[in-house]
Amino acid sequence: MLGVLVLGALVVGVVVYVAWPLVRPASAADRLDPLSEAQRRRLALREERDLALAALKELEVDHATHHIGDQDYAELVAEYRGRAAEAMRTLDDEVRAAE
Amino acid sequence: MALIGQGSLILALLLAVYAVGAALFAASGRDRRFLASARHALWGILLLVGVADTVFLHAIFTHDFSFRVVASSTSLTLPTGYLFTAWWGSQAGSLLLWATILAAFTLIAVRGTRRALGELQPWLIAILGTIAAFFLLLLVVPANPFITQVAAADGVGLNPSLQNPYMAIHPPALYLGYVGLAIPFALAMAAMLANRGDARWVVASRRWTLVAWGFLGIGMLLGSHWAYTEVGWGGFWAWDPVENAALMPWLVATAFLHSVMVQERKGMLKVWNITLVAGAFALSIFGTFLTRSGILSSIHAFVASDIGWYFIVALAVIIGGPFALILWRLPILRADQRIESLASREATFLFNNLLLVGIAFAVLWGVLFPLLSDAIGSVRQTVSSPFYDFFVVAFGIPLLLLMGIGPLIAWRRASLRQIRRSFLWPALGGLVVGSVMIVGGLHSSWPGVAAGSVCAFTTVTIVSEFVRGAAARRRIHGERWGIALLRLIGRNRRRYGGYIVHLGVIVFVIGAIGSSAYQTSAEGLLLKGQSLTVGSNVLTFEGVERVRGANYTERAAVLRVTSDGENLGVLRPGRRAYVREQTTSNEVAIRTTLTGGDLFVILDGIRSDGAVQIKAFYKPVVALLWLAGFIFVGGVLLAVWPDEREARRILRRYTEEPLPGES
Repeated sequence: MLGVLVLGALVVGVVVYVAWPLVRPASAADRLDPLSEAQRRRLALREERDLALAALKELEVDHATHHIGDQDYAELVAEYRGRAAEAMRTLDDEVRAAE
Repeated sequence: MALIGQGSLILALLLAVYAVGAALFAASGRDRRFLASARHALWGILLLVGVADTVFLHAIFTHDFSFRVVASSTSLTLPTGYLFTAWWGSQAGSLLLWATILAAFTLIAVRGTRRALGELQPWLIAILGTIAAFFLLLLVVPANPFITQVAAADGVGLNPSLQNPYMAIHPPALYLGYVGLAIPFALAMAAMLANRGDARWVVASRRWTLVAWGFLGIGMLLGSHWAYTEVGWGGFWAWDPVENAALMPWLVATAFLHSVMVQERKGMLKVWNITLVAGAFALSIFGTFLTRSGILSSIHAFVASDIGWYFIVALAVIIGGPFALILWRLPILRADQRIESLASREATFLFNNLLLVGIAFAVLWGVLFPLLSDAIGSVRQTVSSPFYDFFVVAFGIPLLLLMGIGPLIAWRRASLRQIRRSFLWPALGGLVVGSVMIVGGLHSSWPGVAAGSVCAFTTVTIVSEFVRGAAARRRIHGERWGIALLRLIGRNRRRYGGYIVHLGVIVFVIGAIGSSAYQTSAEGLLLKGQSLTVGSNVLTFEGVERVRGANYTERAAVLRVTSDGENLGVLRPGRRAYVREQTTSNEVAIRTTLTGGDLFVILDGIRSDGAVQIKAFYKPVVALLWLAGFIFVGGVLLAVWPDEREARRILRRYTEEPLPGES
């Protein structure tokens, strides 16, 4: 009998708890819409920017610890700076266009 | 009580099915209320599984032998401490532990990714809910821990080899690893279902993989120590299928932890990383299947097993599902860049991945071959240590070398001049150690010399990485050595945590080679007063001692140990007879020396005339194996420790506020 009562209380409690969000307004913190094309583009640009910035930081470490020579360092730094700048520029353009 | 336990599991199963349905409805109907309801269902599952655990443990601790599982895995005389380990001593109990850990991990993963991976949430819940439903189905139908019977007066007891303190932590550690691999798998699948080809899932799953991988590693080391001290054959790894079951997902997860860096930095290896994550999880399920289906004892036991076919279906879905998803989402999984040079860090990671996966495949074949031969023919063929040893040596030595080469080579490309400069000291270190081994007569085999040289090469590389990094900080920031080193590590935890783990691997390899290649052994039948010499130790038999434990009686040989006339104390190897379990076990005696070597003594038998059959080993540097475990844990903790700055940077990248008109 005790088992039936405990189980019954569990069933009622769990059902109420699980159903509760269905009768309340949805939380604004949840996002369900897939990314739009513009959002996807901007996400890709942010990843590109961060990849280039991280690569620059890593290059600096590799250069300081003598894993990479001066010439390679200069070439790669110029390339990654260019990529980061290009990503940031395009990102700014995208944001301005959307505004 | 059984009704409460069984009812809780049925209710949890229904909730898991509901969570999957609600999450899928939320994804398709864009109804956020159902997503919140699915999340609440996950809390409900955890609560209900917790209730089932409580009922199960209550039955164990109150010796309620009306529960069939309790009667088959405990007894009245089983010490209280081992009553707790009886939780995972049975099939049903271990699956209940699986479900408990999964319910907890699912909630942590879902809560932790709510903000940064919002649109992946329904898919994540659906996949993890499906995995939870699978395990709950096993617990409700074929492996029910709450089946009752007419209560027996006493239980049959727990397998004596499981009555060891290591059993309190070794299986849970392995389960934390096995279950932990479900989260990266679910994140990868959710990303593909949500059509997300970016690196967000990779970033989110990195830490989960590291945690699961760390637990698997700790679990295997604890298992090795248990085998060493409890099983009593003198070794720490026997290539047993149960050991291999944990090793395979660990190897594949190791490959992922390296290749994930390439995807994060270069946008390459996207398909490969998903394959590795799926492979690691499939192997963790395969491991559970191996240890729980009865297939290891014979193919007939598997056919008769209640849960074997459930696992076969689950494995087919876990292998086939990702394959179909990868084909479907191939356009978003194309690499952003290509490997420019073979002399680059990304290339070394690629080679390292091939070797790790190669070893995993070799081990998998070694596990599968006996099963296949049993299924196809009438005789089970066995695969013994030389098969595994060959692949570990052939693939492991290059792998150790790559551990040293990787840090020396920059990303993208390295010039010949730079390579020459970086490799000079490590190569010298390797040559010196190799030469010393040959000249000093320590070359038990050429692979041993090669492994020793490569270990030295890699150690010099890793140490020089710390020194170079600290020197660079001193130059740039004018810091003192200690501060420079601490800040270097603190600000690059993942990198230097990884190096520390590599050091642990080297220490382990030295311990493994040293303790097996250079061990000495002796065996003999001793009457009272007679001696046996092993290495510089002399063991003198002084008599037989009887000990009575809570649920066993033990007869131990008392052996006085002397070395160069110095009394080093007494060792008592014994044989225990478990009354209730009606089995015996060897209790080895170990004396660890200051140099890290072990005097390891086994009592093989006691004759009616009082003579004892003794087997003794001296295993040099064996303590390095266990020291490696501590280094490994330190490295993992450092690498996994949260980095606030990185977390903020990542959150900013993936959660920039939507622009006007887009929300």
